[in-house]
Amino acid sequence: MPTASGATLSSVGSRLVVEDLTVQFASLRALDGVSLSAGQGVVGLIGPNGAGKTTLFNVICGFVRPTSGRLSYGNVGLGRHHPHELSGLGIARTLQGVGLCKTQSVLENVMLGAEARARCDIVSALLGSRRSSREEGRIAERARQLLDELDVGGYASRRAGELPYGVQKKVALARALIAEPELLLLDEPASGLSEAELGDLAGRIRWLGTHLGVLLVEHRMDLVNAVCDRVVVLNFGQVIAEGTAAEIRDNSEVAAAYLGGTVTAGITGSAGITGSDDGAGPGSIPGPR
Amino acid sequence: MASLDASGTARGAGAGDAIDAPGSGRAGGSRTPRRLRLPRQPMLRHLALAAAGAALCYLVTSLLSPYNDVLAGEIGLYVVALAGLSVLTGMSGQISLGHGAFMAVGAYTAALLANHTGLDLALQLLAAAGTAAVLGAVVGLPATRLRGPYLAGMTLLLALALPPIADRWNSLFGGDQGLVTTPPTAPGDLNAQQWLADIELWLAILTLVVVANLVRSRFGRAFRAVRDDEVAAALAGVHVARTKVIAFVVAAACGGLAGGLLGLTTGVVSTGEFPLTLSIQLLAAMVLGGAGSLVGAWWGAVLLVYLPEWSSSLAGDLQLGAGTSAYLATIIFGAVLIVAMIAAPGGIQGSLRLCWAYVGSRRGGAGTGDAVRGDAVGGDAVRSGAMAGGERPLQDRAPSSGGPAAPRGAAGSPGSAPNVQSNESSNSDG
Ligand SMILES: Nc1ncnc2c1ncn2[C@@H]1O[C@H](COP(=O)(O)OP(=O)(O)OP(=O)(O)O)[C@@H](O)[C@H]1O
Ligand SMILES: [Mg+2]
Repeated sequence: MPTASGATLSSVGSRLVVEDLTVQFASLRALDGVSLSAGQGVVGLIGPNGAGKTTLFNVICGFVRPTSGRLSYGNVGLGRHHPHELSGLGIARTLQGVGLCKTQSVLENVMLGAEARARCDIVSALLGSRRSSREEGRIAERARQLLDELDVGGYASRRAGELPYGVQKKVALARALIAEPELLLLDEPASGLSEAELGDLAGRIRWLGTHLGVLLVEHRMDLVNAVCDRVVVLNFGQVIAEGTAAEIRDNSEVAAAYLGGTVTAGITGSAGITGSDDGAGPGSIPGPR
Repeated sequence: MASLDASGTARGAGAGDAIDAPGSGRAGGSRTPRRLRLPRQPMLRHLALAAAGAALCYLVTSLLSPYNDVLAGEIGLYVVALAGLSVLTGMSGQISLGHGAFMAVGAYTAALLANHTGLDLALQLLAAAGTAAVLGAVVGLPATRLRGPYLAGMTLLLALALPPIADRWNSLFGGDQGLVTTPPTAPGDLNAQQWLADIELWLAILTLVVVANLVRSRFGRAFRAVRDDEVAAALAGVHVARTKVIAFVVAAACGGLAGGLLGLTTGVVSTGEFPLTLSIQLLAAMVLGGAGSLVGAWWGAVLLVYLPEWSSSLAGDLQLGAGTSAYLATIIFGAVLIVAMIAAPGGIQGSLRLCWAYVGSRRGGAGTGDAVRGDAVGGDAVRSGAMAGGERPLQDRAPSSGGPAAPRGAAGSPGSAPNVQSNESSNSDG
């Protein structure tokens, strides 16, 4: 069900289209007839804990098979693919939490993201050919650039697990970006970040949204309000509302879902929903608490 | 030899230990440590080191007695076996209790070819590695679905299943007597033991160079990622199952080559040469040497060769019965392994690295810290140096969407690709 704003965004790049998607885990229906689409721009996906947001990401990524429904990205059908094929299609994802290899260096973690673009074959790798070392060098250089651009270049040779949470999240973002995705799936990128880091992140997501598609799962409504062109609200696996951040904020059903939810972590958002100023730029995002 | 060290992990960790201020982390990169000048291209550097190592091995074996030459050669063949196991278990995180089976396959392959075809030694050994590699692929495929204890169980079965197979077709495999092998004829007036030891040590070095190339490549990165976090690896585009099979194939090929060499060393290939304890000792030696470290393979091989020597002389001193002394080596191995896992989980190589970092941080404070750091980062700088000024990195994606250029433009420098060195210096104040 493409909305008006979605239709204008579809003019550039590939679109992710999800139609009538259902996922059944034993007795639990984690997703129930979900339809949404995402092209260029930032689409927010919100909902109380357990609403099915991560499950939707898992279906898109190929970790979970849909029980029924259709997914496609551009003209490629999804739903029966393997996770490792995703980054070759131009979709990258950051994991809830950080999802880094903790014992590896930051540089190595970011370089890993270039796997889908690496062309070196096993024979030239075994022989240590010039082709292999050139490609490694190129990937390392690109990784360093990305780290520098995310202001964490100084950590390149540090072990990822020993770094502050905010730095790790940036490293995870760098690893997603080095794959040069056209669609970026961000699963709670703001969790655990300080206010200052949140403002920085908002600026970056907004900027990314002008160049590629971003599907953002986030509990912190201040971030959602600041960056999303469109917001889709999930509750108990169903889409209960869709619209601009302002429309969602004024939607009584959404407020009820959050307030009626079993977990009050969503209330971080609830406060934001009623309190935040629509025009807030990334630098002036209200605090998370 | 440090540059042959496989684990990027540990290198990163070593650097991390020496660095306190993150921002200054790469400042040392521009300072070249005053050392022996080696070629900057990794392949040339490795070849130079390997040639020097090969010459050194030749020198050492010519000084040793024939008996010690045999032991030196055994160290070489166990290095080959342990390098493979290190890739499989240490780097890609798949436990194998059946490494001895790959050695057995290699040994029988080489011996059968020698007895029936009179093939050249080099081709015999190549076939030994190849046959084992095929078995590795066959075993690796189902292994991609197994983890931890289940994988251990499956590889254990492999080690247990091969001897009965050899016994079943004893007319081909020689039954209990086994197959007799003939050691290669030495050129000139070299004695046979020295020549075999040279071949084994040279092949060990060759194996290490090849495996080191692999672990420095994107395949090594994939191994480590799969070991650490399969989900994250898959999302990054790593074909997890294929990566695991590649690790199995590499390990099996190394095992097969080592087995072929073992057959030449012992002069006979029989199932008794490849008991289950061999597989277990290989795993223990790999862990003791330093899991995932190729330098550690040397330590592990030394342990594998000398522990039985020491324990049998110890058994003689203690006047133990034949039954007990046969197991003494295994018992000592087990005990050392348990103590080591508690006291030094990084194995010998891991502990040495820690000592090295500690000494570095104590000696002369900041200055030396820089040196350690420079060394640690230097590898990366050299790696990147090869491509500085190359094409624009990773820009082959369709430009229509504007997506790929995005992060670059975010820093306000679209298209400009500053080289690594200038990046580093500009970053040193952050
Ligand atoms: N593999 C699985 N097997 C069974 N149930 C699952 C599985 N994955 C998720 N679930 C269940 O599906 C529901 C939706 O979970 P999901 O992780 O998608 O929620 P979420 O919206 O991401 O929540 P949160 O905000 O807490 O991250 C939850 O009740 C969860 O327990
Ligand atoms: Mg979630």
